[in-house]
Amino acid sequence: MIHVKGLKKSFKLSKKQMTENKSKEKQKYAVKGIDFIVNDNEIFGLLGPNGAGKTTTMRCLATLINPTEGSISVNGFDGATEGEQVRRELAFLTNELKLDTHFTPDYTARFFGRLHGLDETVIEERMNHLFDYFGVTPFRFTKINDLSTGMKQKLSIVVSLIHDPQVVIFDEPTNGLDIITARAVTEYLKILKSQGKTIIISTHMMHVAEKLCDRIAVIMDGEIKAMGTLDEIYKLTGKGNLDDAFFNLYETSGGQMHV
Amino acid sequence: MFKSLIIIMKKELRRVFTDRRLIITNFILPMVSIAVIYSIMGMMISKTNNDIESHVTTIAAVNVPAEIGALIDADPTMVYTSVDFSKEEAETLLRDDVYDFYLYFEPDFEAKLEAFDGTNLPLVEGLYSPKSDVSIEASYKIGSLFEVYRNQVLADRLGGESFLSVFSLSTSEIMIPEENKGIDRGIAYLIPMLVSIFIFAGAMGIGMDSIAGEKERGTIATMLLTPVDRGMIIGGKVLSLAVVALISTLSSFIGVIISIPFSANFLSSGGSFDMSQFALGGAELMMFFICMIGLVGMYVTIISVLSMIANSVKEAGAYITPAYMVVMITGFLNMFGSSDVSGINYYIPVYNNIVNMKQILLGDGNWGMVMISFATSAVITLALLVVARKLIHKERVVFPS
Repeated sequence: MIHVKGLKKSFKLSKKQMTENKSKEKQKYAVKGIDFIVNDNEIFGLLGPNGAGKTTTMRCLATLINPTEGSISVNGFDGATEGEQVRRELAFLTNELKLDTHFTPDYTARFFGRLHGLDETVIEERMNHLFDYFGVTPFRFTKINDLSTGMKQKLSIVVSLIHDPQVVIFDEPTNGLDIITARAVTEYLKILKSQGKTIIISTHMMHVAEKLCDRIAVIMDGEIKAMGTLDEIYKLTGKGNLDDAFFNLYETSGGQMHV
Repeated sequence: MFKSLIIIMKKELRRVFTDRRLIITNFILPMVSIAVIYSIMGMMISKTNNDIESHVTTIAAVNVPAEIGALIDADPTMVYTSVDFSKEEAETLLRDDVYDFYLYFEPDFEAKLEAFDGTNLPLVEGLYSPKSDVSIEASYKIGSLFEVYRNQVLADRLGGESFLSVFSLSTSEIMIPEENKGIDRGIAYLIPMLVSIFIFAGAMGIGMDSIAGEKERGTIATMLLTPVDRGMIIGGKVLSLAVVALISTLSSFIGVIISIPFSANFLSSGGSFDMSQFALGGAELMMFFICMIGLVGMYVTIISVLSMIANSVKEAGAYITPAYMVVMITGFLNMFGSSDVSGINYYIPVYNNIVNMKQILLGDGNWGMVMISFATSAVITLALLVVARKLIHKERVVFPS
């Protein structure tokens, strides 16, 4: 279970960034005080345009960065004071995190398994299961540098899940994947949910969110504009699908579409 | 806790030792290039020396007295030609390397020498070209020849060679115990500088890639998602870097040893280079190794901190290059300084280790001084480790954009 309360995150701006933003403010709030809870056995979707604060929120949840204000709790562990335990509990996948392309999938998965403190037999079991599911087994001893983009993404998912975490946070997990690989990823998220895991995903693909998510939060300009089940979102916006509902929220919150 | 440090260190070492490119650039290339460069330099210097030694000095001489002519004729490495050039003409011929030396005796040189009453010295003038090695060598030869001639004249005046001796001077070397003999002074001054530079150079490339490179590629962030303490991540990287630096230094030294048959003359600044003198005792080797460890600790932590601050390998290179300059200057300072160093210098980091290494090689190693140097190095290393640990916890350092 994830509990986010009054989360705010600001970044100091360099002089160059202040000039670019035409602002005298020395800091910028990427997240302006958000609250949400994600339960076990639930897939929670974070939707929003680029720069809305989705990734920053997820990075705070993964303890990669510290919140400026507010609190985060992951399975009862406090993100600010119990970062080590929080990281034991979760998997985090985002495009900015990369794997060393010099190594093979086999070594990489073992290395991260060891860093999570797993026994070699457990690593072997988890590795075999995940490699088989995501089709990495034939490339187990191929250098990551020689793998396709899709295979690298699948390996990143394997590595993030090697320690069988209770909480899974995936930032645009199907980004750049072909339809077959994307399907494999979304199906696996369903399996994880059926195992009682707590899952947060962010995506720009509305059909993926519609199919996967039990609840959705739409973030814009660092604030949650709407949160609830799909039906609740449709009811709130008066629209019949997530695509239209999203644009409705975008426009009512001051956003403009440019063609 | 330390298990994760070992896991990270092993991964870093695996990264280096399974990459052919890194093995070649960090271990094989320095060894080969040092062996080749030092050998070529040694051979060139030997060839120049041999050329000078085998060269027959040509002297253009005006009004040569018979006794001096005989002395020149007696030396197979010199030959003279009687000429009647002016000094101006001789300068042109020396500049054009036609002659190596010009020797002018005033016309009544012998008569003046004969009638010398203590006031009217007979005149001899010599010219040589400072741009020509053989001409410079000719000036030394002429100097020696005139020393012989001077003694002959004085012996004639005083009534025999025995009157040239005024007293008996006897100087002897004191006995130095075998274990304190050390090695050739030139080598003792050179090796500490080379060790210092090799350690820094060995750690520099890998250090930049391992920390700034991982930041740039986003691979360090993936490690930060594990439950491992961030301090252990930087600690594992620093440890692996220390191992790499030591192996790289060893490889560079193998390069120096390979070159010795050709570069001995150049390495020992013209002195003797007896390989058997390299045999240091166990205590000396231990002291030398402790000094090396002191340098390794400081260098790898300096490189790690600067790489941590940098956002890219290129930026890290810009930060680390000035530090490399300081390391080189410190090494050179030791080469030109006295071998006896006052107490305060033993507290100057880096320099104290280098001076100690020199003293050990000279046979004057001192455990007390070695331990003082090691303690100062350990303090600096620990301080830099604390800085590196703080840096890896800073968001703006790890995620600059």
